[in-house]
Amino acid sequence: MMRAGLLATFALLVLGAQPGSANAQGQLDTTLVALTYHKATGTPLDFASAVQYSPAVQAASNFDRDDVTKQEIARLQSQMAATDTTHEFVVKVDDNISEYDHARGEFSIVLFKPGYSVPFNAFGQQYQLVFANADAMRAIPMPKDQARVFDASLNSFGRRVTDEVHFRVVGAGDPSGAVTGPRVVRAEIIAAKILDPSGRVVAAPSEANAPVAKVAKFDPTTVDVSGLRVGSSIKDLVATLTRLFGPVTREPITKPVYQGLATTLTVNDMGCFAMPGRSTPPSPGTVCVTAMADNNDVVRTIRIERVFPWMDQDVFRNALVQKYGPVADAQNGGGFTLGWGPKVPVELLYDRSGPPYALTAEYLTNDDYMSRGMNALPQIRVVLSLVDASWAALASK
Amino acid sequence: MQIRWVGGIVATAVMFGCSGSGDASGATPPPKSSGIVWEVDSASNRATAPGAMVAFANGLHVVVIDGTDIYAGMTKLPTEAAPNGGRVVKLSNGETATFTPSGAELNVTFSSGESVQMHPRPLRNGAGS
Repeated sequence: MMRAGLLATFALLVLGAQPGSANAQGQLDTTLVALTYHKATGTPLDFASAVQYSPAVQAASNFDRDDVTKQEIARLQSQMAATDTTHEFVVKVDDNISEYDHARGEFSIVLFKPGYSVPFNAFGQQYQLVFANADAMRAIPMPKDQARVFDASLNSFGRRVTDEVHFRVVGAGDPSGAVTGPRVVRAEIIAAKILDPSGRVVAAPSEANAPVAKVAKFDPTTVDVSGLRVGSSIKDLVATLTRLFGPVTREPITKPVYQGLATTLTVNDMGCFAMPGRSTPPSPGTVCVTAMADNNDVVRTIRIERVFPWMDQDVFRNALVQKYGPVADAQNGGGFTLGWGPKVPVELLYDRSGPPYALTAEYLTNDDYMSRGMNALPQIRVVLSLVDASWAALASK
Repeated sequence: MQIRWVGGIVATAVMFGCSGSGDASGATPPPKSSGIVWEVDSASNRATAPGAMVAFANGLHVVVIDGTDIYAGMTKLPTEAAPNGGRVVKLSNGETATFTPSGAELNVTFSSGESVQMHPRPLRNGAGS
């Protein structure tokens, strides 16, 4: 689900329902956006359920409903087959311009901040539209003297604006990992205009004005979690962990969760999470490591956790996107889990309900009676887990 | 404690030949005893929390510094000289971290803007410096 605090209640200014022809007038054909998403990403669409919301099926008598449903399914399948995945859409969204950030010398377009999306409905279900390159369009930079005049102008109409966004559907999921849930439509902004209530252009954001950001690329052969790597020898990992974090406990695995795993290495086992009755709760800075190695003493999975004082989850998310690049998948629930790289068997994962990827990152709160009962900010426990995906693929055969 | 990147510490590092073994994974464990273990401040400092998190993500929350070599976990990071006696580390994503001595501590500034302080870890049994 989307984070409640950042739930963007943007209003789509859909001016009508004229599929395929509306975009030139700024109308958004949500059906076509959804079809493009399903076709471009290969995400299955339940046609039988989807057509239940079509006017033809809803208007059909009980006698004719089955036949009309079949006709509508065929029509929708045909429409999807004919869908051009490079189609350019236009959407108009009610939005606000932020207050001036004196430190950065810029205003921000709120919709283009991480964590914001444009929800829309199609086929009786909700989709969330996120713009992959929004952050590069977010800022309206200007010097302070000019900003004062601009700010007064914004205040004259309550800072309310309309974003006119031209975009293409490019995939699934929010690359920043901030918007989660099913049917997250990843789009790329082609052009945008910010309009005041009278329709005057107040800003024309462009990627050309944004600083060139380095986009990291996930490489499963060289990736590390907090400097620790899979594929290394037990000897090297034990030497590293002992030097950095303290004594390492080595134990044979008698009941392997995955075939081929033979040894567990732990540092500060179970020392990172708060539990009721624990005499010494973990303090910020506490580090815990759990690794598993195969029969050849090669490390195949590593999990490293660290306790932090409370901090905004965006700090963690941004640090990881900066290091590993666009997120492959994300889930929320209590905290959140992000995933990168190839998929791996869930038996190898610490959080088996999260995204099943070679690298996962979790942001969790370490609640105790102080934070629950006395309104104190909870500690944060972050967990990075890495699985040797190429080994897992071979071991499963 | 003063941090010096050249001279005696380098000589010590070279003398004790402290490079790790390395293997097919590209992993290079830190030296067993030479060098000093540094760790980020773990106090509840909201201002430096982003820096501590970036340090953790990159394995720089606890490092071994041995001469001019910096070990982030089992990854030996290439370093270059920086102004004010510091060292610049290139991270895997192309970003950099600049380690600058500041009295008994190290200031670490990331090219993405975050910064954090590190202090040498006291000696303890089985781990640390």
